[in-house]
Amino acid sequence: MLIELRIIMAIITVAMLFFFISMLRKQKMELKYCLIWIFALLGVTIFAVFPQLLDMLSSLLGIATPVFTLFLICIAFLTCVCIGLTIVVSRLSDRLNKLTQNIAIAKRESDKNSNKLSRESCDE
Amino acid sequence: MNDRVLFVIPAYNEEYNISRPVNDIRANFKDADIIVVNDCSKDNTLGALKKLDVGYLDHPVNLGYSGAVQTGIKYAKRNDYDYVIQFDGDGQHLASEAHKLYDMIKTSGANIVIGSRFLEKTEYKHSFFRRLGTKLFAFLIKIITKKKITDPTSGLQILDRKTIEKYSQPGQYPEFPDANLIAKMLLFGYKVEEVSCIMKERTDGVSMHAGIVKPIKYVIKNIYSLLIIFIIGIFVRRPNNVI
Repeated sequence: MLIELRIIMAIITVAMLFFFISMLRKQKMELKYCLIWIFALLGVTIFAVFPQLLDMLSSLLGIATPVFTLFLICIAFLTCVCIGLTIVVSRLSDRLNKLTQNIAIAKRESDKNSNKLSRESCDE
Repeated sequence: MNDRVLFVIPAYNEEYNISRPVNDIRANFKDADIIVVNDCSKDNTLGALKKLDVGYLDHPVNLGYSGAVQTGIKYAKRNDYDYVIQFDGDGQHLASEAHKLYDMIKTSGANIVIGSRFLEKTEYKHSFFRRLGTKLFAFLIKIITKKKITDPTSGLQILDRKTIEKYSQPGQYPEFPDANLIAKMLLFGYKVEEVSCIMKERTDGVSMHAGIVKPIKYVIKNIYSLLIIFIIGIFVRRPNNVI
């Protein structure tokens, strides 16, 4: 693998690592969702340091250029992350729906009860 | 009338319109209860509702049309209503027409009765594209379910207990409750009928389908629900009692 590509990979990895750490410190990201990216960066670092691994993997998969193996891995990883996010979003919107509807109904019922109570105390 | 009937009116930014349907129902459908679902309106719809002294449910966040209707349906289920009438908050629907729906569901034993603008010739003016879309949907429903529904996108509908139970379950009332929902209910063996209804054009406020972006979104949504119909048609085997 080209030395230029390895350097670019290393730079991007370090920059992204700093970004994630700062996001975590500002509590803008949850560690739960951040971990997967940190592991991904770890993977990229391994490939940048030991490019032989990528060459081995390429010959194993029958891919002539190791860069394409890298792309393949990246696309597979991103697809998995996207599917995961879609599942999370669906679940969250479902919960939001339920929560909003139940709050609306509960609020009406508690309003009714407090009205009844105040009316009863007026009657007394 | 011994049945308990609940009007569910979803309202989003209907401060100046909402009194019309509420007063209409109070005057022309006296035995029914009304619940207005305020879907986190940006204007003072809530104040208008308090002034009207009408029952209301107040969403803390905006869920959209279908979310608001489902809240009303859940409320009906919790409070053990026999029938729910979906009614628009913009003054398009008339309480006198809702009687027709009620009579129809009582006599026909249907699960859902839709107020149709196209069953007979009425004066309702429809934009060309919406009419085209409605025709297309009606055609698709006919192909998939063998049942003729002339106005599957109508917002004026009456639901019986079985349908209320079904719709109030999570995920059973989709984000775009248009033709796809009617097709699905037909495929699941629910009986759907139609009654010809007169509807008014809206006079005040902004329609759900006004502007430039919204009609485009509406078309995309329609294509989306069209796809859902196709998928349902392919995967759900038609029960014998539908035809």
